[in-house]
Amino acid sequence: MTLLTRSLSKTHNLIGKPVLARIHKLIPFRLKKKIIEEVLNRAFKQVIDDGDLEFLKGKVIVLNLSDLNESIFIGWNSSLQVLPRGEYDVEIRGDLDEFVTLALRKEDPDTLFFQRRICIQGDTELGLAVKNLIDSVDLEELPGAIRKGLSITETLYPYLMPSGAR
Amino acid sequence: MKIALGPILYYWTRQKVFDFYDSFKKSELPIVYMGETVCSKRKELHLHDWLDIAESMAAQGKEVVLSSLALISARSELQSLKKICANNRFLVEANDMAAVQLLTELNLPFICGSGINIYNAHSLALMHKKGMKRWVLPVELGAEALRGILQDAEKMGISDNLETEVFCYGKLPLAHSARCFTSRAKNRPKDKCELACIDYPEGLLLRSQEEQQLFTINGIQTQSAACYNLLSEWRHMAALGVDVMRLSPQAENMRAVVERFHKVINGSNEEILLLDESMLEPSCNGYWFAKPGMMAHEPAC
Amino acid sequence: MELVCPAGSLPAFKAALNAGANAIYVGFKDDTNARHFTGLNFNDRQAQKALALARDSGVKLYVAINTYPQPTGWSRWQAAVDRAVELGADALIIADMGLMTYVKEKYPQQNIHLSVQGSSTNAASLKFYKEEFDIKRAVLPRVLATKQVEQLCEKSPVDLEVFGFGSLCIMVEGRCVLSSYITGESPNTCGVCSPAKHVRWEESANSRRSRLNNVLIDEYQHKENASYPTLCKGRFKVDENTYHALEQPTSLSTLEIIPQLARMGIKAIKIEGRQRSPAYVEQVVRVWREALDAFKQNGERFSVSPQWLEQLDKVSEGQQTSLGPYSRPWQ
Repeated sequence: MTLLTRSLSKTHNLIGKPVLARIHKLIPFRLKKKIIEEVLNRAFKQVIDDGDLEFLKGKVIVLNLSDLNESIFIGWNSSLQVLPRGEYDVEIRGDLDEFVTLALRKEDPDTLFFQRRICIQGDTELGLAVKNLIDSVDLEELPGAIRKGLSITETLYPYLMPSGAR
Repeated sequence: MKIALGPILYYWTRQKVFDFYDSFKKSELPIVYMGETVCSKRKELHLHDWLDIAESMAAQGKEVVLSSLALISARSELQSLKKICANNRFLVEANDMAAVQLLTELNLPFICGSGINIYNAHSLALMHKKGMKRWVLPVELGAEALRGILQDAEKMGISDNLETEVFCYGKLPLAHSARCFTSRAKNRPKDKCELACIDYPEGLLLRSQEEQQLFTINGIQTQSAACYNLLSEWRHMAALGVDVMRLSPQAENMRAVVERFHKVINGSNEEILLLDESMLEPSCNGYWFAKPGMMAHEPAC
Repeated sequence: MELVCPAGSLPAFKAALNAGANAIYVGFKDDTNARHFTGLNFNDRQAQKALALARDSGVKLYVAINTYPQPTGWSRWQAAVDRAVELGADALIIADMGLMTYVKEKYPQQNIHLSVQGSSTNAASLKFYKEEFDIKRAVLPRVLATKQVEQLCEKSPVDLEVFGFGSLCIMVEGRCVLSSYITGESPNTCGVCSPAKHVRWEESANSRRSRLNNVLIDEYQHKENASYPTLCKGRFKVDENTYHALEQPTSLSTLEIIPQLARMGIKAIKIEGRQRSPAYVEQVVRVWREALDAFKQNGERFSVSPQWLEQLDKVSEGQQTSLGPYSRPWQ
């Protein structure tokens, strides 16, 4: 591993993530909700059009980014919605890095789960369905802005998370 | 409704097997299945021994069926199967499609055991066309599936000379593997199993880490830990069109179990309990009610 | 040898294409196939797209319709056959003989492959399916030893396909109902084994427990790798011993016997895992493509690269692979 990679990764862990966590706390819920919903509904547009999200009706999924100490509650009502904290059906928990690894398809989710880098608690079937859903999103068909975001992350990925390719 | 004694699924000593069938000679049991269905390495009895027992049971007026191996993978197993199929005397129960093929080539009628996957009337019709005269419902199917299959069969006009049998008592055969779990439990490779099964005439109990009884290890076969028991359902079965109830042998008290079934089904006037101490506990019946097999389901009356 | 690869979604399909699949098998979004999980598999639009992609790159498309229809579901299975034929699938992978009868009567020209769920392990049984349905190929259950596969290759009236990599079923496929005994749903009836809706993970400070319909399947200590709570891979008690009484969580990998399989006359190698992610498909197919190409180039001098093994181990259940039934001590 090069020196550059190591120092970037260190910076990411020592400074990047805490700063991110701080910023995250400063953004008002309504704004956060708006941004996340916008991204989600665009990313899953094809899946939504296919009617494949109906199984989410009445269910609440929590993504728990444990190192940022942040939980995002997500539900479905004709569109994906970020909900205030409350009851939920399944919780998917892991460090931010693991979620980025998944979003970029760098690792197989089952592998992360078996290695216990990701935990699923509650309604396992719902958790698995969400996994399958994410897998079914065609990255090539994503709207330009999201694709660009992913591609930048992808470029940075090996520097920030050399451990991702464990 | 007739009662059939299924093949012995465990590995018993030669003497125990002979004694077992002796005890049924004078019984009113109409149908007896016999032969090794689990592991080809079990050789306490050879085919000629089975045929001797079969002759003696037939002499008592019983219908005898030779059951064949459930998983045929070695060339030697196929050879033994050929001999059984060509026995020239008794009906054969196919437990692998190899037996169906061989019996068809010989133009012989046959019976399909529960391991032949007949899940619908189209499969049933094909087997019937090939010469099947009786079939055993796959163990994981229940009353509703059976009703559907038989209704469709009737519409297809194949139900007249076809008998239906249901596995009604005993530890359920749930899976077969190339791997031997008894020798694994003994820490021996399968090649050197030393026929460990003979030490477990009712199989080897497998429990969860919380002591829940789950399965019974029987060589390469995995059975339920609980004893499937559909005695209380016999009227419902008869109404559906079931002809034969199969009772799978247990090591002790099997004679009493058969008698209990016989008395209940033939409606003797005395007060008859559906359960007595000769029957294995715990019992289950979930599959029949389209529930998990391990469940003991009380039907709503 | 043809490399037959799994796809549970379009991205996985593309991953398989890019990584060098010769054929890709898929299922529809219902219980007519043995990987019936929410969010997985192909609707008509996606199947059309997959077919177009396959045609563009000269790759074959197989459709698995390999569960056992019961009377109430018969029309759904029939419809799945109709859709797959209409789509133009190169072969249908089927287990149920009733359904094969339907295909043969209605679409006599349609290629049929006998699914591994059809549970055929010997020449006589294969002969039955050949004579009755003119099947073109059979997928062998993962229980046969190398020698048995070899003998079967000599006698088989049809082409044979074996599993090269993936989750290891230790019971003969199509004849295992352990799952429905505990949960009510099995591969044969519902296209699922140890279904997720009955799975619960219990996390505590020191351990992770897996339950299937409340039955404790395993308990993992801190840092210990977990595995999916498939019944045959749990840790149970027999007498006073607690161990993997049926099988350890491990994956099958037959990379090292590629030359042997080719010599025997095996026509196709199947990668398991329609339920796995595009990342898994990409990684596994790439390794197998490289390995098969290396074999083509080097013949008997073929050797397994340590890198391949490392790649495969990473995505394996239990992070380990074995030759399974192909290694003698296994049985």
